[in-house]
Amino acid sequence: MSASFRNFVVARVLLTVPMVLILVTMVFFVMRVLPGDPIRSQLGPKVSEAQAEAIRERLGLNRPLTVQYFDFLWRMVTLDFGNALTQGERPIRDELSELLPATIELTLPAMTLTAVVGVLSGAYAAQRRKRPADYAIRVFSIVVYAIPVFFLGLMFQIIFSVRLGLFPLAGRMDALLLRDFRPVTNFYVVDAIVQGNWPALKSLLLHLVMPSVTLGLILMGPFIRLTRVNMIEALQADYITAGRARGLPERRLTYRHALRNTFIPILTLIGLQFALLLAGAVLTETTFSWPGMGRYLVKRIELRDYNAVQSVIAVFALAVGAISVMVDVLYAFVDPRVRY
Amino acid sequence: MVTTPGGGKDTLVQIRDLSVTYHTRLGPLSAVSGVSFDIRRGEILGLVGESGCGKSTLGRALMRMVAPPAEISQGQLLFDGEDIMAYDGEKMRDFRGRRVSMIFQDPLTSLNPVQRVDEHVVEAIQVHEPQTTIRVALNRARTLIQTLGIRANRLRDYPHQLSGGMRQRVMAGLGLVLNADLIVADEATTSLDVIVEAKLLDEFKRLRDEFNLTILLITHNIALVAQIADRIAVMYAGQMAEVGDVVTVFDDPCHPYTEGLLRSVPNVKLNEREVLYKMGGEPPNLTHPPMGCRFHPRCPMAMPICSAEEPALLPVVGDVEHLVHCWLHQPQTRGAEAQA
Amino acid sequence: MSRKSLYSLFAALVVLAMVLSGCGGTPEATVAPTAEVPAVEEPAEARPLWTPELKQAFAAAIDREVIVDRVFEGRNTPAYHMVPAGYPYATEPFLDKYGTRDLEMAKALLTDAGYTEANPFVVDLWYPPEHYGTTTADVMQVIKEQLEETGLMQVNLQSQNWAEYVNAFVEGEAYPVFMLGWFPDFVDPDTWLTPFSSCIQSPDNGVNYCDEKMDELLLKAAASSDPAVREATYAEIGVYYAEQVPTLPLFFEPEFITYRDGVEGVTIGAPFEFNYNVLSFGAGASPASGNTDTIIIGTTDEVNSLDPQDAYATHDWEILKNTGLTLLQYTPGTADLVLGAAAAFPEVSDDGKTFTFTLRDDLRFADGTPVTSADYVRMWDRFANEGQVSGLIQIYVESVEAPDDLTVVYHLKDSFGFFDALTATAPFVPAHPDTFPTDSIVAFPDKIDGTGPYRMVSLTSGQQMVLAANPEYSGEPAIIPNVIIRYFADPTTMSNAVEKGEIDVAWRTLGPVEATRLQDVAGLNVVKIDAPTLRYLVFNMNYMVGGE
Repeated sequence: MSASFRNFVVARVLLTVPMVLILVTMVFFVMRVLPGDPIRSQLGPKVSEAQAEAIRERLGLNRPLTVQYFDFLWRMVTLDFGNALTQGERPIRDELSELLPATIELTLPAMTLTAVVGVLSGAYAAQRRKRPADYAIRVFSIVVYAIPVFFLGLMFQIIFSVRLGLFPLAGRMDALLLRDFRPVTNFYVVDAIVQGNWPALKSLLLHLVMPSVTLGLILMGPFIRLTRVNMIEALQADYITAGRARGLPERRLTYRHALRNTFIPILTLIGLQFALLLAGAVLTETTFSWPGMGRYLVKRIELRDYNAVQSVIAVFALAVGAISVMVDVLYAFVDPRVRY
Repeated sequence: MVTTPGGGKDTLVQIRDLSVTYHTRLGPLSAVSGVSFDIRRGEILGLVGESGCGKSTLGRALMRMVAPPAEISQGQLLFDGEDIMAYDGEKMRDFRGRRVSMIFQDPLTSLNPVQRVDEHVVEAIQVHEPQTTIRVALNRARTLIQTLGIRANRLRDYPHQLSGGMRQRVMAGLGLVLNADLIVADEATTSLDVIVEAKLLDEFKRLRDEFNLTILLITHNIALVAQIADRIAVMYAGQMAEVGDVVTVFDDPCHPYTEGLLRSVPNVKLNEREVLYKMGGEPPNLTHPPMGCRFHPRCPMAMPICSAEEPALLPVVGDVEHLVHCWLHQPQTRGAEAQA
Repeated sequence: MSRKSLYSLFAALVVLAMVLSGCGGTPEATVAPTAEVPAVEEPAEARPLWTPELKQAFAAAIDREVIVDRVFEGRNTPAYHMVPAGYPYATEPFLDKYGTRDLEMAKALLTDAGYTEANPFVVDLWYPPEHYGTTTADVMQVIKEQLEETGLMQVNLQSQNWAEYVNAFVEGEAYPVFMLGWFPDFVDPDTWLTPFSSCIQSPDNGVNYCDEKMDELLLKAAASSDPAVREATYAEIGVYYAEQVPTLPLFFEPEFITYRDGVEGVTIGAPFEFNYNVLSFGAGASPASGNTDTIIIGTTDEVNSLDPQDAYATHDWEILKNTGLTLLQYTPGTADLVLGAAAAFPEVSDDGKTFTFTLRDDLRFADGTPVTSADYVRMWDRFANEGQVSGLIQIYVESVEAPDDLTVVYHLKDSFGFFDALTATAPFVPAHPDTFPTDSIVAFPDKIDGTGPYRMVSLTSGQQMVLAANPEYSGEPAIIPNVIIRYFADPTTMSNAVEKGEIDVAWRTLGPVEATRLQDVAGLNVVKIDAPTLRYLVFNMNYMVGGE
């Protein structure tokens, strides 16, 4: 690795810090500007004002804003995050250590599906341009983009689970297996494999199919279209003609030559779609009762739980930042012409 | 109607009455119209003409690589005695690269920018000879590159890391790696500077001498043809104007167009007071070519029959190898005799 | 963005933070004390908007039957009193006074108050559009139409989302009349009346009503342990309530429970308790777990807190009452108070302020630890941790004594005849000392070794809770030894689950839409439960008019 490349990576990583900082600061202030008070929102009118005030005092909500702000920043650096303001005041780190792996287990296969199927379909459509397959794929990409997530999820549930009984309906694992399951990392798939718990693994994978396919399909549209457009252009390049003149088969030209040259815009899209992935995860998690961060975030916003919302947004921002850095770094490996 | 000496073991390619039509929105455009000629084994045939005369199209047609909206509308293509118009997709794919290969004008865009030099070569080998192991293929690649005057350590480079001349040699190498019988060099040296061009041409000559290669040199640069070609074919407006031994044609051009071409070449020893010769007029619109001989609007020696009937490509009196497409040199003309 | 501008932006944000903090921008600073009502400079002509006559006009003008039919297709139950019909000492004073509707009376009242068609009574009617479901807007629309049918009223519907809504009515100034919901804490009319019409408690619900006579009656009814006295007094309160209309009850929303064929023992009565220990699998059952020793119950609720001296949500109380034994309890499906952890009904002192309970001698936590009166004193001490529910108990109880191992003495702040009913609530479940320390609240214990028919074995947050039969339970063992509570994020998914057979029972909150759909599905039983979930209108006595 050249020195300039190393410098580039370091600079990129460092750039993530102000990005996360700004985002978290914005959330901090927006949450407090939003009307509604965390204590009242959750407890409703049943709790007397005196009691509510006492709780507020105990939670440190009456301290000056700057104090709260810097306290939170410091906590974040030490990954402390504090406790949720309401509903049990569970330490947020505990919550996140359960929710984050769940969301990752859902979104990773979804993203893989999106990227792989999306890109390959787009390439296929480009190769079969103006033929029925091309039109079919283009229609598919629009339909899948327009369908609301929960609708698709519900349809899958009704058709494949209730009517056909092929897949379980919701949740991460079968109830009885979950009862005896001892997660360690909360990445259930990893834990199941490490423990050699094959029935649990099977249940996990079956439960994973519908939610990740739902989420994967929803995000696929842009991939298909972007790949197709870039591929059409790439397929008209001179080196493709030259390759054809050498007797290289069409399939090879499409998938080995043209496709590799369209990776840069695809990589960029992956980086961008990642943020949408987390948004889509919210609805998917709700439809399939998947215990992930998206669901948690929405609930906490409703409850005006400052701590929890800030923490989750911080984690999201870090994740998006990390992916963004990885994408930038990957450019160097995908396209040899990129120099640092 | 065509009569040409043909057949025999030393004829590699026989083209008879070949026409390539572009289907444009303004109507069909005959880019190549009824062209017939031979390419002999081991010769360097220079195919010259103005831009848009159809020489590149002809070159591609030889490999059946005319892309839609163009198509080979009629004609016979015999390669080594076999009718390649009858080949199906798979046979044609095998044919390309292995029996005929093409070197393109711009080697930077004709090489895949994300593929290394050795990968290019190895791929070409493995596609056509699948049983070849990678090690063997790499060895062949190394030997070949070195034969072309490129050091072996450049094998792992990407196209953009090589100079123009080296890239073109790589292209040449790709053309040779499968021991093709015919190399079609489509403006192969146009993008190179004169010194590099000269080196490359020497290379071609050497290869021809050593491996008995046949080279179809498509170019608009007549001087080039004079330098290394054995025979020359002159195209105008999609038709073959004159074919013959290079010395003969240069010394004694029969077709007025050829004459004009030769006179247009700037002389290195151009006298101060000499004016550059320009041929009058423009090449015709090929959607509505002129009646009769296509050159007649610009021909200084046009006769009435020229605008009425098309001549045929016939041998000049006294030299069976020298063919010309002109009423000046054919019977049934009432004009002055052609210059001998 | 260039580095320089990045720094400037950050600096600006920091400065902004400091400025905001300097302004002390925390919510409390904007709460105005409810006592000093009008703005400082206004002349002292401001008076409360609401007179009893105006409120009666409202009560007369609305037609609950129509609301229930139009918005809820007849599913809901019109409420003619704050107290639900199944409760002890319940009456229907609003029906008595106004019938189902008396438009003429409403018009007369408004005319007498001086309103005409040209000069109608204009008022803003507030509601939260999401918190009570999307039907709320429709309900308000019908109410508006009914009120305006008098020709002498103009009602402007206003909505605000829940978080701000709560703030606003607790502050007590912004809303003249608004909608709220209520769910009882214990099974007694007092919890339906005192919170809204007593001088002390009504501000907490934004009513700000204070009347000497009402307070007297409420105290009298609450203080007595004599059923005859209570019955007569509550009847009197009812009549007075319909006259004074501190709040106007609208309707009760039912709940639905769905269970697959073969599941038996599902019975939920007025106390709205779901007892898992009487559930069983009968003939023709195909348990979701594949085994008749395990039943799976679905819910869309979430666990809020499982600490008995903190928990204050319906689902939490349900779990606590299935894993713990209260002093007194209800026979499943009824409002009959019977013995629980207590060996006998309490002795009440003459002044009604001291309740002495004798405990059973065979009480044990699920791990075998014996339960004695000391645990009840400890329970009282734990309320000092200011759990969410501590206020509920601390209003009534002054102190707790344990003269001997099996005797617990409650000294109340006043004479409260309904204290029996209070001891049947979840806060009276003893907490295991190892799991729940005296000086802190543990909302999410790893397990609960309680005194009830079940013990909680595990809780996987957001996914499921596992209960197993408690071998140390002092009563009849549970019929089905294992219960798994499966948590769903969405009622539609839950309804699909019970349809498919992945769960045996679908409980709260299924919702009327799903319930109606499931009624037509073979193999399922949908039962409507008369839940004590009330919707009512509050008349804010602190809302002032005049002045300026």
